[in-house]
Amino acid sequence: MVEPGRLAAWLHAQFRHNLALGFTNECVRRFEANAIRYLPLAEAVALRQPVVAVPTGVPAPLEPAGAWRVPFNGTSLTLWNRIACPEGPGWSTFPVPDTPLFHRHESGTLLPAWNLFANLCDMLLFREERELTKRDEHGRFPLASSPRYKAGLLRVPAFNEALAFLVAAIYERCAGASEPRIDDLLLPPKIVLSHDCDILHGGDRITQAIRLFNFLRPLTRARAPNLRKLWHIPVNMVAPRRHYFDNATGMLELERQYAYRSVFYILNGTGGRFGARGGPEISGELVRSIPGGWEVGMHYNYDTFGDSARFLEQKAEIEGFGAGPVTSGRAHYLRFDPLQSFRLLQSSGIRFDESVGYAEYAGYRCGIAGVFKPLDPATGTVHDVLELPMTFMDRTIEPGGFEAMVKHIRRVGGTLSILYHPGTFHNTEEPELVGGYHAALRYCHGIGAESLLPREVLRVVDGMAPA
Amino acid sequence: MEVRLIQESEIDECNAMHNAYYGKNRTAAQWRWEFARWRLPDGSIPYAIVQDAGRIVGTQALIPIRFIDADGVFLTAKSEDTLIDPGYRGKNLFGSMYELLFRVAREGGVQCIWGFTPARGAFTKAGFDFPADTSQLLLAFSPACLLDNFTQQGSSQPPLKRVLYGAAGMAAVAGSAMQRILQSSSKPQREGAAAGIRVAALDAVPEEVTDLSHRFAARWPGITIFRDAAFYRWRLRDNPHTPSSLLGAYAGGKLVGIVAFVLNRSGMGFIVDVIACNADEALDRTVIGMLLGEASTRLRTMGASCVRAWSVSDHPFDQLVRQAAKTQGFFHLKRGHGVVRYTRDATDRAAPLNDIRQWYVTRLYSEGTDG
Repeated sequence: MVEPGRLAAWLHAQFRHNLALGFTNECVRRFEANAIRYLPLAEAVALRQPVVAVPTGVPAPLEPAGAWRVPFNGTSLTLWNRIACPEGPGWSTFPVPDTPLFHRHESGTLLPAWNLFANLCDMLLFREERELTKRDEHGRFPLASSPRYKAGLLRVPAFNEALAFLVAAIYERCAGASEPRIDDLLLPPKIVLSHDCDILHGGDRITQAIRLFNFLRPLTRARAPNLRKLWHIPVNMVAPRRHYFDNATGMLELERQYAYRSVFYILNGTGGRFGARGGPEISGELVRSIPGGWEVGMHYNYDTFGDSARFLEQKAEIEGFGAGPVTSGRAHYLRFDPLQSFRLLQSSGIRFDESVGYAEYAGYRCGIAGVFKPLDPATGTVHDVLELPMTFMDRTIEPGGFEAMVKHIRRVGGTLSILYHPGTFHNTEEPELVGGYHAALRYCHGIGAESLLPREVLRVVDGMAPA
Repeated sequence: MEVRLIQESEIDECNAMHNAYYGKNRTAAQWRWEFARWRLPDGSIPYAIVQDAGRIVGTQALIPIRFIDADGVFLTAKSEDTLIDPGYRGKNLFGSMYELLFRVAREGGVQCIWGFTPARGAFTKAGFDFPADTSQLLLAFSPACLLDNFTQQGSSQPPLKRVLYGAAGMAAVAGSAMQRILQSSSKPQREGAAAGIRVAALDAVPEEVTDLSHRFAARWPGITIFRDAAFYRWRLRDNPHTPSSLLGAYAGGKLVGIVAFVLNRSGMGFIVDVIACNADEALDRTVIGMLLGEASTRLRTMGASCVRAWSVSDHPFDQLVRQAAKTQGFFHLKRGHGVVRYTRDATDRAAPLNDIRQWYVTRLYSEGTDG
């Protein structure tokens, strides 16, 4: 296991990456001024300096204990795993002891009132996946197994909230019982828009067979067959690109309307039920039609999971379509092992990944709306891959819920990953999703969110001077 | 009751009054974009309010808009945000606000105040005339296009009406498709390509649009908005409601036409503005056809159920746009709002201002929520 000092340095580096994306330049500079110390609890408590002392080495249970909420910058922070107010004279708790945000000593030492260090390290080091071994049929950690999901905490961007608190603290905005405000220190929230190009051709045999199956399936429950599915069989026989390839260009035009950009993750290589159904010609055509201001990345095929040779073969084919060097991607079916896969990505030249997420739930799988470089806790190696966990996928976007999460990020800072498949953008086969992407973009535009491409995020992070 | 210009501190209250009445959620930032861009010499905003016992009960805005004709650029103002609290109607508060705004306009050099409204009575009483009604161009892609119009207006329809509107929508789709076939919709693209015209998406407002606006005014009779780059950026790209997408038509490296279009929240596409200036009318028609065709194609891929555009007068360029639109499957529907106008007696442009047929006006001059 990595020793706490090294973990602290790594966590601090992740704070810096997200500061650069979400806070003013002045904020980034001030964060470097040694105003935050990571110390064992006893040392933190004994410190008598006007700094923020983050206790390390305090064990946290895997199941989050007793969450509470604290007002902060026009929203609320959700905290868990309480750290009690140190005993001894000079310590006070704010804003109130029942729902504390920080403890302050009269000398100016400030302690977060929750186990900030362990909570964040647990999430960013994939503790749930390491300690709970259950996997689904695709080899993925199941949502239902997540203790944070069971505790209703998967929609808490705990990392962002912690960073917002630390910024408020170093700017001395944590002054007693009043609600800390940091609006002047925040940059507009960032969104990274992506499209997993699973299906570009709606008339392939597998897609049509699945359609026929779904048309008939209600009969097994004594319900009327799904006529909508039946209708789309001839529609896509006659016009196979409708609602798929055509949608890719439609989304691009819609993004252009809002001055947004996106990355198209291309699924090519092996075909089949879980593979690339359209063939290389249509994938190549899409790559060549994507304008220069957008980005092309790789949607890692199902059979490349853990297979470096197949992975490189698929990547080379995309680059051969004219995409240029591919440096970003996401796994098809989110078939991705965060404990093993980063090694493969790094060795394959992928520097930006968005695979970590849940296909059935919008939330923060690692407790972060932002980027981090994964650390291997066994070896202490930091992978040179920037992970932006997927927050939203088309089917998981709930009206009301999406807006609430984005609004919260505007108040604490962050970068959100939003995935919309071409086949769900404007497809009368799935009428409940029609208009959803536009509504999401419109909302983001309305609150001033800015879109970034993976290569732009990398440029920001790579451009940071070493700490 | 007090009639005066709004103060900065009253913007939130004013905006809340409109939101409460119309059931909208316009933000203060959107209000400021629309009304606070142009200031009077003393820094005040040309937005009149009526205040009674500390509460705003009436509003009326003027948005200064520069027009251009062959003789140069001059100032007009768009009438917007008319609202009287229902409990205060019948007291001629509208006339009182306009008494103030007429003076503000006169002192500011505004030659004409104009707008679009169904509220004819109040405007007539205040001295405005109604020279025309707007009409519409419609290209239908989906049977849902007419229902989307009601969604936009915030109203829902009973099931039978939905079926009827759906049937009418299907007829509109069939009609648009037939129109495209009969009019040979690809002809402008072929002719344009032969003439060396290419259409390109624009990610930013090109500075050359200012020159295009000057050339248009020199070539076509009458008056139109002065579409300089700054105005286009404000109105189209900095629009906090729905920014417009832009396509430019180029002959060689020269901008010879531009179209602005949006997909709105209800899934309807709008042609917000279109203008072209080429060697002759036939080439203008070709370029407009290319731009409308390309914009419509892109709107369709974006998920638009239809594309709508306004037509305000029988200005020759308006007529040309209608002709070109027909080739792309648009129908011309004579339904719309009244055009309202007040021309100053002292203006030296009385002839064109008082003859609506000399006005080339598009959706560019609407309230801004859909471009």
